[in-house]
Amino acid sequence: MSEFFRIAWLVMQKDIRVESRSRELVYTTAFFATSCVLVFSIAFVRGGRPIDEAEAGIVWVALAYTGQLALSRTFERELSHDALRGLLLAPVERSSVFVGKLLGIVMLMVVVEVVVVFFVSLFFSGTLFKHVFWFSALMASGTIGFAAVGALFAAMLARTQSRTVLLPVLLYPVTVPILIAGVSGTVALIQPEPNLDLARFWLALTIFFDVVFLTLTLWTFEPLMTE
Amino acid sequence: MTRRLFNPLLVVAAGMFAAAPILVALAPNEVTMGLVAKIVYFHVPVWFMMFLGVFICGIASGVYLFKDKQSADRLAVSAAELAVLFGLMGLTTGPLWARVSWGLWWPWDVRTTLALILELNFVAYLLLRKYGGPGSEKLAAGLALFGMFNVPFVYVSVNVWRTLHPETTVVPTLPGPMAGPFWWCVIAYLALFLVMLSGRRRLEEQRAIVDRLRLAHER
Amino acid sequence: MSDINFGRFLLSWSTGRTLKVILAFVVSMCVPIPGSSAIAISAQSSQPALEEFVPIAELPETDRLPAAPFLVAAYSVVWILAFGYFWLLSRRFSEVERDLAELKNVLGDDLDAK
Repeated sequence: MSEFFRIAWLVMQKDIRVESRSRELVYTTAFFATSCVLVFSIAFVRGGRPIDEAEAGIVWVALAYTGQLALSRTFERELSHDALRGLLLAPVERSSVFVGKLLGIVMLMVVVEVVVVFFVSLFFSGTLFKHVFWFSALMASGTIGFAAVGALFAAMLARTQSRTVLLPVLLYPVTVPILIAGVSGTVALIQPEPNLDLARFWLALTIFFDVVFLTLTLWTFEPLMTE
Repeated sequence: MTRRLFNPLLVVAAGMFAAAPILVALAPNEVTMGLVAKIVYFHVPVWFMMFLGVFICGIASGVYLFKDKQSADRLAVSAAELAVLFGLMGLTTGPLWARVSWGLWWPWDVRTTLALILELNFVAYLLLRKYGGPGSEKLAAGLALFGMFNVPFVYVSVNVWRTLHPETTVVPTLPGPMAGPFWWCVIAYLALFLVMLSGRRRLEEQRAIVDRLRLAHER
Repeated sequence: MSDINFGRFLLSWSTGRTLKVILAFVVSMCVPIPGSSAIAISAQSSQPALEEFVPIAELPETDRLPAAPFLVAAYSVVWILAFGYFWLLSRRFSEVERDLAELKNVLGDDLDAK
């Protein structure tokens, strides 16, 4: 078991090292996320005043879009010099490789989320920080679920034609529960009278989603990646 | 076995469908919703069949992934296509009913929304198979498996989320004189589903034979 | 392939007289559609969809939509989709059968189809 996590750790370290040298993904996705937030803010501000609780939707849509971008690019990178094949041929458990890739993507998404949350709270006068703990927990567990499903699909699609259009087509129908739970949970936290019980329910739902779909991805990664 | 049953089943389905409108017309009107509630006789069985398609596809995909059986893959793609077809039927009849009964085209009812999301999922399945290139069967099987496991999550999340929205009861409790025609329609649709499924599977088998012959020819 | 002849059965559909009969039936099923959809559209323009849920029983009598066109439209949609699917299947079957015959011609007798 410790071997499993060691491999995962090594794969994650490799991804982080590659990223820290070029910083391509962090810069581009963070910039994209900012423009996403700006576009949505323009859509949801009427007469100088934002629509109530619009920030919940903006945060989660920005998360979904940037997550998709990061996912497809992370696996596209592995295609040059046939690195993906190399990773899969390594004499280690494949699911540990998957967990490593997943950890790398989650780290990247967290960095981008910090940027998104900063800009959203700037534009919408900081309502997101009413219940910081529950909000961060919801974001974290939502990110893990989204990234787990997304990493599997992106890995599957890496070798197929037209992967850039197919990834969103596959990803969004499956991650709909995460987006519903995230948006509704955030609304429950930031509304004038926060409903903590409801927020906890949504958090529990996303955690349950994470558990089921992480198991499912680890279970299907092996047969899905065999040619 | 389904092959031998095909022609009798076709006859049964046709006969039951011929009789269905008469039975539906004879059934009493629902008290609160009136005549339009008769959409239930077509709408709900269609919805059952969509679910049947989803679960057959999901389970067959699992078998294909882990046991590598080509026949399971052929069954899965047939069931997925039927899930999309019946989903389309349900998604067109649903809003027609909602518009008359509740004055809304789309009441964000949990079942309708779940059907829409599943429909998207299985359209994605078919798109993946069509445009994914070689090897996309496996990936599509993974997607179908995920879609099947997603059903309870979507149901619960939409159910809680739309409590902000109107509370609607879609399926009226069916008293005796309405239950008969209703279950008649369910069985008629089941027969139709099985006819279509076995036909679609047969097509997929023929295609496999053609592919094999092509390979032999090229060699 | 003698076990069911499903392909040939559908093939005979696409070429034979039966197809015309079925097409005539489908067309006859379609007849109420233009009328009913026109009614539905006119009803929509005269009565915009409500913003929120109101049970039909609480609606004033004048606001209620005529149910029959909607019912007919719903049933027709289901029938058209079902027949459309059968038609699609029969077309794909005839394609496959044609390919199969062609390949068998090219390959000759040395290769068994089964």
